[in-house]
Formats: sequence, structure tokens, C-alpha cells
Amino acid sequence: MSKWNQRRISIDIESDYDPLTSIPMLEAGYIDEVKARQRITAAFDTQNCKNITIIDPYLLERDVKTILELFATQSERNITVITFLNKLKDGDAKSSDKVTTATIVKNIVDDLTKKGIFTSFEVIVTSFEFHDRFFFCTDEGKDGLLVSSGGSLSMFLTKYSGLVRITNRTFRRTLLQFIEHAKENGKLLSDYIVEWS
Amino acid sequence: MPKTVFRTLLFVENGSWELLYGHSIVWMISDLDYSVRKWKKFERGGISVFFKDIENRSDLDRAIDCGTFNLLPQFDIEACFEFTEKEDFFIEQSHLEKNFNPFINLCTFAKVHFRDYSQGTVHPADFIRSYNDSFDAMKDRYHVDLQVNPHLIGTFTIYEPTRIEEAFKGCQTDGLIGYRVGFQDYFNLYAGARVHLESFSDTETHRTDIEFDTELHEINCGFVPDRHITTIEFDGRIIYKSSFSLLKKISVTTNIVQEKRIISGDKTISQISSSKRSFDV
Repeated sequence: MSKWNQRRISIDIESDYDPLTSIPMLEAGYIDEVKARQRITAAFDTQNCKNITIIDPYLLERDVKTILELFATQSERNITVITFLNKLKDGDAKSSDKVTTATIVKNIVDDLTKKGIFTSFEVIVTSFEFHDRFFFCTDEGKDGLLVSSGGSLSMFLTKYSGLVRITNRTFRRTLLQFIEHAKENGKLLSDYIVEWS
Repeated sequence: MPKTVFRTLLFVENGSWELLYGHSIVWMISDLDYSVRKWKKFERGGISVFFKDIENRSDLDRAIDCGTFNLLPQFDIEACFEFTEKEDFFIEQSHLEKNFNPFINLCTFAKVHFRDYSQGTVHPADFIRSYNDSFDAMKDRYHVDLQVNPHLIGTFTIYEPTRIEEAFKGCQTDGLIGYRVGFQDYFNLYAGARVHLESFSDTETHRTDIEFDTELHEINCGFVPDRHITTIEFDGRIIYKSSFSLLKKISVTTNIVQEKRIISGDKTISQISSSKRSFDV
């Protein structure tokens, strides 16, 4: 193969930039986290994802607003959030207890569902701790879009947190297993509030 | 013989005045063609574009040998480069062609001057992304898409196009089942060339040779091709080769989309909903 062809092919192969596999704050020409978040919206919209599962150990009131901004761009979506309602370690500021957070989040989620912004919005509180964060399209018959997020929704794409697109099918199946495990061993928000009030 | 100019385009990084990309097109000009006799400049976000029709080949060759385009007297700038490698190749009109072709419908010979791309320097694709706005503007104005062709960073190419354009149409009428093909030879440069035509369907292949002229040829091969290859040889070398597939049917299914606005704090989210009923167009 000629030197020119070798050069062309190797540069083309290495030019595999993916906005969903990146540390946006380190990207040349990076503007702000709002713009960076739009890449998540664009990816899920392009694939017309209808069933989206968000896995995040933390879920605060303001995170529901983030979910709204990320995924309310298409109608008839079913949103599932799997969380442990972890508290933020935020200096001296005291986080609300989990039941208070659960109640506030439930009120917002109920309001969104009533307004028909999402077809359904289900929050499952797990009975076990977990760490990793994901956005996952679980539509049947689609090669589910799966993005691992280094940061929680509350600090999404700040502090040099990155995104990694996962295409490994075995890992996707494992994550589906995790979701089932969370559902079997977790509680819907309303049940959780009743149990712990 | 019509006049020939060397239509030259340079992308240069401001400040370092390093030549990022350049090409020169060996262009025969007709009476209707324009000519840019002085260096012109366009600038966007840290990258400048300079362009001019260089009149003498020797000036172009000297610039390449010295590794410097001197933009005097219009600009007190020297665009510098160090391209130690060079290669010649021919670029076909084909969707399989991997090399960048600055022409929409011409085949071209190319001589590329380039430097070795080494791991130590900023990767061309990362460099391009850091100047995305600039290269977007360059793509729109000069039809050179470095974002799609990052390997063109650090290169200067001389393109010498074959000034032949081909017209092709598949036909299925009473008298003709096959295709019509014709050629434009703008400057009457290729008299005596030979044309080799190859047509393919799922089950059939047809090959024939014709004399190169500017007549419209009807080829009654008995089927409308799915794929076709045209090759033109002149003076013992291939000067034109096109390869394309024919589009026979388009089917479009669509549905109706509505937009709703959701106010969330200080933000407005636009929600798209599409009807479940779809219909064919």
C-alpha cells in the first residue's frame, strides 16, 4: 500500500470522535454543560427511544428538572429511574432525609405525568446501595442506546465527568439483569414513602 | 489552446502562518470563466483562507520546492510548510473512491505533497475539532470538508481534471431497452479517445466499446442496468472512469409531527410528537 493511502487510512481510523464517549470539558471548543447535555438528548431523540431507564444512586428534586430537559423532547416516553436516594455529602448543609426527598420527588413526578409530558414516570428506590450511573434505552427490537455517565444527574457533565457509550451486548444484558434485580428488590416511590413515613 | 491558470486555495493558521491545507487546480479557462489575479483573503476564528489564480506553473513549483507561498504584494505573509513526501494518483467518479475530489462530476489526476503524520503531534481530527466553526465556514464557502477528510490536514495537492462530463439515462421504451450515454468535451481535447461501457443487472452483463465523440449514443443492451461503469482511455492511459448505481424506485412513508412547548423554570423545552398513523407518499 502506498504511503499516502496508509496515512489516509490510519488518520481516518483514528478519527473516531463520539460525543457520547468523551470528557466534554476537555473538548476543544467546549462551550458549556448545557450544550454538552444536548448530545444526550440528540442521541436518544435520533433513535426515537420510547423507554428510557436512568440509573443513578442520587436523585434530588432538581434532578427531575434535568431529566425533563434531557428527555421531554419527545412525547409518549416511559421514564424509569432506579435510585437509592443517596444523600449528598455537601459540607455542613444538611440533606433532607430520604422520605422527605421521596415525597417532594413524587409530587413533581405526579404533576409531570398528570400534564401528559411523559406517558409514565416510575421511580424505583432500591433496597441496596450501588454506584454506577447510566442512561439506557430499553426499547424492544432496538439495539439499545446505553451511555455510562461518570457523574450523577446533580453534577452532570461538570467537574470533568465523562460519558462512555457502551455497545457491548453482554454488558447490556447484564444491565437489564441489574434493572430486574432492582425492581424485584426495590419499592415504587409511593410504597417507599408509606413504608418509611 | 485555451489559457490555463493554477487556481490555488490555502488554509493557513493565523499567527504561525503554517499551511494547514492547500490545493491548486490546473484549470483551463473559457471566455466566460472568471479569474482572480490577486491574493484574496477570508478569515474565520483563527484560520485564514487565501486564494488566487497563479498564472505560471513555475511559480507554483517554486513555492512547493521552497515550502513557502509568498502572498506579497497583497499580504506581508509567508505561508510555510514542510512536505517531504509526494505521490501521484487518479481519482474516479465513484462512491467507492476514497480520495477527496474537489469536483462534483469530473475525474482528476492528483499529485499530493504531504508530511508524515506522527503520533507526537496533535491528531488532525482533534485539531480540526478545535477549529470546528472555522472549518464549517470553509466547507460552506470552498466545498473542502476537512471534518470529513481529516487526512487532508498537512497536505497540498495539485489537481489536473479531465474536462469530460458524462450524461447517462436508463431507458425502457418501445425501441430502446438499455440506456443513453453522451459526453461533453468542453475544449475538444480528447478526439480519438476510446470509451468502454460495462452494464450490470442482477442476472446480466453487457460490455461494448464506442468511439469518443459528443453524440448521444443509444445502447440497446436488452435490460436497464442496475450498475454501470464507463472508462475512457486516451494516449494509452485511463483519463476518465465513472461507476454508479441507478435508482429505479423510491418509496417514502411519512407521518404527521406536532410540536408542544413545555416551560420548565427559565427554560422552554420543545416536545415533538408524531402520529402513530403513517402513510405512503
